[in-house]
Amino acid sequence: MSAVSVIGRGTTTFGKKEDSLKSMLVEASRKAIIDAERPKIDAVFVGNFTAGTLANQEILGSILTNELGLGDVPSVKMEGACASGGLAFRHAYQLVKAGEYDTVLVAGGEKMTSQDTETVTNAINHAMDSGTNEAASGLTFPGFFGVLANRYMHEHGADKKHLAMVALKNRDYALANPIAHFRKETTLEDIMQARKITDPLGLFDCSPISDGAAAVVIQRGENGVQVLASGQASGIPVMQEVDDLLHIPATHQSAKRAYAAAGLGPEDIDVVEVHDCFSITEIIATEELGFFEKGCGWEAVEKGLTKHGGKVPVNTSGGLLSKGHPIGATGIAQIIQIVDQLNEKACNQVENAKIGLAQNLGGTGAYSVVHIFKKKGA
Amino acid sequence: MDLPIKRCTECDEILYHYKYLCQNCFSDQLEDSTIEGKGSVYSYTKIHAAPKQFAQQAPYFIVLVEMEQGLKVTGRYEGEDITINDSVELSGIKDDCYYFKN
Repeated sequence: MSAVSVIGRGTTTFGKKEDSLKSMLVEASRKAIIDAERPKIDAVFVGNFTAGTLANQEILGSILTNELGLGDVPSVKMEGACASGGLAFRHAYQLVKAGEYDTVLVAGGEKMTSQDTETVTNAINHAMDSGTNEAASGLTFPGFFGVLANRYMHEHGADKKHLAMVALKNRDYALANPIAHFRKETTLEDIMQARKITDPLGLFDCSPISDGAAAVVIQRGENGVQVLASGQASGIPVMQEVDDLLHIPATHQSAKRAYAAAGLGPEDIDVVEVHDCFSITEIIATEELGFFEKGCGWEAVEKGLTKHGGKVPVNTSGGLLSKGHPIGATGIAQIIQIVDQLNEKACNQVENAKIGLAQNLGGTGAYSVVHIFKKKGA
Repeated sequence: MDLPIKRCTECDEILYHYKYLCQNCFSDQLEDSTIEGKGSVYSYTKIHAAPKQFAQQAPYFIVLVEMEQGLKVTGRYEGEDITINDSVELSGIKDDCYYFKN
């Protein structure tokens, strides 16, 4: 097994954009390949969730390979709902580590804003099992996290203010991120008063519908931020079948596997990007990743432990909540923020960060993938 | 009313009605059965932003009900207000959607 490093990175801006999915994937990939000093690319992996439904396009691997002039190198699209990008990265990483390829381009992208919200909500619902009575009930994807949030508040004593504090932290971090969807200051009051989406979650508790793409080049060797480990797990895609709704076992298991493979634990992590598709999801993720005790994630937010100067800065990019959530791009964009942190080139730079972690969730806990990274030469 | 379920004829496990095999003993010999439709609210949400298919019905309550005889079930609650631990019972099934009332 070989060392594998991230040697280049590129992104578009995130938000409501005029660009097509293809043009965004090309833009991010071109930037990543130039950043990597134009190495020979052996394979292309693309993460995407809804291109068939929302952008009327499939075969993204072939399309991107053709546009980049990479000839006949193998390519593929990987789908795992919101974990599509992270899964594409994981499988590319494993093939480089195993010696199948030397250098691989991993891109992710999503085009979402060209459709109306009801159509997008419908497409995102494909991340839940449609062959059940639950799908027929009208439960939405955000609705799952609303049900979870109400139970969490009931059992652990948190209230809406703590959810809002997560949203505010990530909005504040996004102010410094040039690619972020939202770069306007807001207040706790604005967040608390916002339009309701699915009780108790309001507009700011939910990640936005965004367009965007992100790409990295990974290569065998130690010529960049090193990928120390990758962990993946599956979970239950039906709410009523979950034993304990306040756990997202796929997040926990994927982290456990990544920590074990890296020989590290939560205490070793200097900076982290977690999958905050909703404010409550960030709180649960920080518990499942072992940064805080179960049921205490909300207190950590209240004490400022998830910011600079706390225990571990969480979502210094602004997270999905404020950087934006072009679904297929998200897993790659999280990795880029960690790579930038470990290269000392990030927005909201964390001083002396040596080890970073990125966690990407698919569906309501259907998939989770965790990657752990080490600063070059550390 | 009673809640439709499947029961494993090999090991007697209670399963959701849409299951194809018993995860307990891996048998596919399942029979249609029912359990009592009574339970209590484990959690809930009121959905304001709904997909196209349900948009005209919004806002509406989704409840996750812990049935007295086992299984949690997701369905609709049609009353004005609901909270955790409220007692509810199944009042109807339409288009595979379960409706609960107090």
